Amino acid sequence: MRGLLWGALFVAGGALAGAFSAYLVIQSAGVAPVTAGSPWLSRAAGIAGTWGYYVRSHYLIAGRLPPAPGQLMEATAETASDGTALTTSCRYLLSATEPLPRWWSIAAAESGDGGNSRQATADSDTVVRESDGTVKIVASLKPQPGNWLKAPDARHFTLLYSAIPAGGQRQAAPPPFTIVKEGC
Amino acid sequence: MLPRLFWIAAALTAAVAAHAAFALFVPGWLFSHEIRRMAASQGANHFFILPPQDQAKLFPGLPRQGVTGICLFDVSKGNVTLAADLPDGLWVTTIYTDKGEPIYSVNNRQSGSNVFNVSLSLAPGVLDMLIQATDKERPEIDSGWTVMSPEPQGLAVVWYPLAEMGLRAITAESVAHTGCGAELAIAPSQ
Repeated sequence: MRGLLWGALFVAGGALAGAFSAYLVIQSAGVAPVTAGSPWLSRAAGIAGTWGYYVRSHYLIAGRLPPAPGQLMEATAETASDGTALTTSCRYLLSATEPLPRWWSIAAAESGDGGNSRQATADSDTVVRESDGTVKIVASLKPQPGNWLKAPDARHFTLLYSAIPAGGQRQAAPPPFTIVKEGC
Repeated sequence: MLPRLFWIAAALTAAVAAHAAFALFVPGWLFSHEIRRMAASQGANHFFILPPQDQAKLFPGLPRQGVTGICLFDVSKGNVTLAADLPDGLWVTTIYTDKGEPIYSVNNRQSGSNVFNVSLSLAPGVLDMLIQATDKERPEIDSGWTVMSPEPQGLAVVWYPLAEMGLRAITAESVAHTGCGAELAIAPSQ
């Protein structure tokens, strides 16, 4: 009798482990840096690959839609360019010196799943450019002069970048923004 | 020894089954639940504008001042037409299956017009294709504006970004001219 009980518990443990492994694969499948050494991570390549089903499930499990391939490019950053985690106790300068896509936006959210309707965004329609055409945005909890992206009221935060490719391009280029920690 | 091997095999089988069941059903169920909540007062084959909080849930990275309209379509009982009638400017229209797979997408530059129709129909199953191949009765696909969905239900999404929140109400009113339903079509304006 005791053997049967242990066996049943063993099987139940196996089922739990199987479900948990599926959750882990869904959350991690297809995530890769957009370029080597970049803090920006994207699932764009993964969604079209072998793990595409799991990558798509990552979006669905959060009750949201995956970006339309070829229309909207999405990338997230949880670290600055030096590899340290983005925290609200520091100030970060996001600078774009390379050409920007047709339309882009950057949001600061508590997690890559977003979901907070009050999260702050900066986008190509609202940002003020420097005199040389470059774009500089400061992400921090406290107000800053110039383009300010308000970090969420949490210990860590994530940057979400979305872009529509320039005319004639099949896919948007990787996010042109570097993320430099300025002070804590 | 043999009972222990049996339980190990049973646990492994349970793990594989639970992994597959979770991956196959949980994400789709959670997503469907969320979409049905958003469309609860509208029903299927009806185009409507999402409130900002639902828009934030569906596309968390996009600015809140944009306008997102959706139609939960159901082609199980016949074809459905998405008759888009959008204001000038940047927009993206995407058709997803109810499993979140994008099957068609077009933006304002690719379309060349802000007024267009997308005919949605159910893709034939394997048996139907075999019968059609035998009977030489394959249905004609009239143009690139016909989309065959592998699932009977799906979601048509129109997204229109805006520079400021003050423009949202008037733009939403304009985007809401888009229709979604059986045998519905808007004649392109001259």
